[in-house]
Amino acid sequence: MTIRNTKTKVAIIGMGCTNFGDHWGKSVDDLVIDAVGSAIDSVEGIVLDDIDAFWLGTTVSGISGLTLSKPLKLNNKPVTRIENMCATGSDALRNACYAVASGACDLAMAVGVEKLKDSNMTGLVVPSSPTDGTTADMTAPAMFSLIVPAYMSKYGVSLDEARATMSHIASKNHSNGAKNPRAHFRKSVPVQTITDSPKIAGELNVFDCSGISDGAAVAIVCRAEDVAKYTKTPLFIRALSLVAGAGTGASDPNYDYTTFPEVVACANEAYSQAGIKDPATEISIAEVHDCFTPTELVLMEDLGFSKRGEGWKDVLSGKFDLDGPLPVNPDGGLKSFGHPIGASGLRMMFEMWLQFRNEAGERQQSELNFGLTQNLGGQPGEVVSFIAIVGREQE
Amino acid sequence: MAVAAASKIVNVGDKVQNLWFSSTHPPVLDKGSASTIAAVLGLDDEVCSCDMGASVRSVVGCLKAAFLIRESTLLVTSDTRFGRPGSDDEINGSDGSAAFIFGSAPKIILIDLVSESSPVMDRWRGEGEVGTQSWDDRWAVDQQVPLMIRAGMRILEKSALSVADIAHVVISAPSPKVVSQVGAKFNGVSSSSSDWNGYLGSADLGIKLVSVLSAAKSNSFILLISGADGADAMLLKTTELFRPDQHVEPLKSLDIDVITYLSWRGLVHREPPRRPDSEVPSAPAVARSRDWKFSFAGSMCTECGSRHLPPQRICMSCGATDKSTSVVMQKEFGVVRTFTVDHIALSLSPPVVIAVVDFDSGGRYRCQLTDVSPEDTKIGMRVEMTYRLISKSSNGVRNYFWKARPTMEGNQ
Repeated sequence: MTIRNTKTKVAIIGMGCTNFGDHWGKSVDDLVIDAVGSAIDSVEGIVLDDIDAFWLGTTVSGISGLTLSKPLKLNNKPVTRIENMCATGSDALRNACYAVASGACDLAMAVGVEKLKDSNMTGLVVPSSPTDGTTADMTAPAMFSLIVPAYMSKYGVSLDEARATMSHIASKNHSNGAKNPRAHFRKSVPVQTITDSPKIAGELNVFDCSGISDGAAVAIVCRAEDVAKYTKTPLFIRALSLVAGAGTGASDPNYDYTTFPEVVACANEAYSQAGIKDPATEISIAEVHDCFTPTELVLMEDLGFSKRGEGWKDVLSGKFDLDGPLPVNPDGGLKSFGHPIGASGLRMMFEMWLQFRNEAGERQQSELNFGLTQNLGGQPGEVVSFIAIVGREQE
Repeated sequence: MAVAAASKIVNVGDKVQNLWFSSTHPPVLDKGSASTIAAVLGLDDEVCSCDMGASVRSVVGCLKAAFLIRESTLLVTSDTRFGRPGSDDEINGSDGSAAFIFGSAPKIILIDLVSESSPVMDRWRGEGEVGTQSWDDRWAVDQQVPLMIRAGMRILEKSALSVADIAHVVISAPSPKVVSQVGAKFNGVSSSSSDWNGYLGSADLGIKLVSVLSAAKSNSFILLISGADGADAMLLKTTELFRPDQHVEPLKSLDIDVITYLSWRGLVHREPPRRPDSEVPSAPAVARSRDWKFSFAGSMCTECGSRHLPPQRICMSCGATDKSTSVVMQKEFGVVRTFTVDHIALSLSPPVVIAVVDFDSGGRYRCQLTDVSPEDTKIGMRVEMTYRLISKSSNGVRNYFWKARPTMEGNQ
């Protein structure tokens, strides 16, 4: 492996994020213009034309760099459109970071946008190429619900215990989201309501699933050596890790549906870049991909926050609550924001931006060391995973 | 059903000269189904695979031709029979399939066949219509019973046999009254098929024949009388080689409610989920993955033995490239490792039950479960593979592929 941290360090110096929700009145162009505008406004003294290069992350809301350059009326700038499933927005950021680190440009912008609410579909619909028609049609909640019976069976967890764990995760994230003015769903939901909500797939109820939303988020990055030109409170990138798995889980009897091996590999790489030995104590806050409640449960173990088979106990003990020792999804997560795919990774980073600059209001955490954002795309058995580690310090 | 019946008597790689498929409800028109069945069974490609469907009587022509042509022939009859809701045919109709292989060293031979042709209109279905329609049942009784009896008596006379010489009689007609009246005329035979419930269209004659064979002995006469477009009588005789190893196997199925039944028949249309239309299988993609798509053949790495479903060029275990052999998994048994019930996926039979199946012989495949209720699905449940309808595409293609179902009794 020769993946390593960038030799030249990178920092985020400006961010913008729209409210997430049913933006019936806003187009993709509107969302992009709003988010980019607020990101530019967040950096004193720069204008859009100061940005040298752009990475646009979107899965279904447009193709090519033109999706960004046309609404913004960019003046013949390099714009690359990126798609990497649910890690799309995060990967846009990763590429923008590499661009400034390489010295090829000084200021780069990562934009994540998704407009899902024009489609009249239930759940996410991922475009696919023509096939031989042999792949079982399965929705995302069904894919991730495969985790639940496998986890229960492997660790001797009863259905009641599994249900309580999933309800706790959903309740925690909604409670956090209720404190966030940008969240789509800004209401606490009692555990009992979650437990009693209608079934979608397997043991997953409606409230175990993230919603479908529209939204956009933007980050502006530069080399660490240049941050003083732009801000006194930058957010330094300490690690960037991206993994696309071999996708063998659905055909390999050795895979047991209680872990995402890709996330484990991705985390090992990220922790190595940031010099983290004990993630459970060194990481202060984490934004993880809670597309479905069992996903968040398994991620606690894959990210090293909990021991194998004990994540459910840590969840129930409140370890990951907003007032716990390691708050997870303090902004409300996908559960409260919904999942405009291309925007979600940058929305997670936006919470880090607020938290590390003491701008997170009711959700503000103190004594922050490292922050972690994590996305995964795909399904158990075939995953794209992204992890970023950020902090106030450059080294 | 055609595949389920035929796969009991042929194996992957078998060579037969003909494969004939008879059904009044083939899944596709213009394009045949026999060629699909041949591919699913993994038969040698030099087979002449032809559909002989449309009418119930086509099965008589198939049997006659298969007996007389003296070539190795696989005859598959398979049908779904139903009338409009509330009709006699809805109550009396059944679905099923029977398959026969013809060739040298026969266990059953054809002694003779006589026919009575009549354009009598007792049952019909216009092209594109759903469900068979019928004339007054008494009309069918008046018209068909005499023709069937005459055909039966003619063949006995020609062969210089009496009713007492016949060990088994099979009477096939859509009307239960016709069957009982013709049956009364041939009283005295040791067994008949009249205890079999339901009329199975072009599969009826075959299934009822198989149902009497389980009690048959060698060197005995079997009389088949079919009432469709007139009448046909066929005199068969079991040979010295005959052994009563044939059996009729009811497909294990679930009790379903009326709305589910009617939606399967296309007689009611459910509100679909807000999901994309079913995927249209790409003809070139299907052709590229033919062994997988039809005969459920995965790949087995020749370096390390890992099995891949679907086939892979690079081994997931040892990384060997293009070092694999095809391995047909359609008759392998497996166990459910984990599963889910998808309440929002588009399906002809919601909710969809999906399971991760680990095969005893190695390899894993994630697929739909069928013939099982969500409540009865469990980790550790033993399953076998069955070729089933997956979806109806917007371009008219009925997409079939393999699903898993709980193992039938008597299987592993």
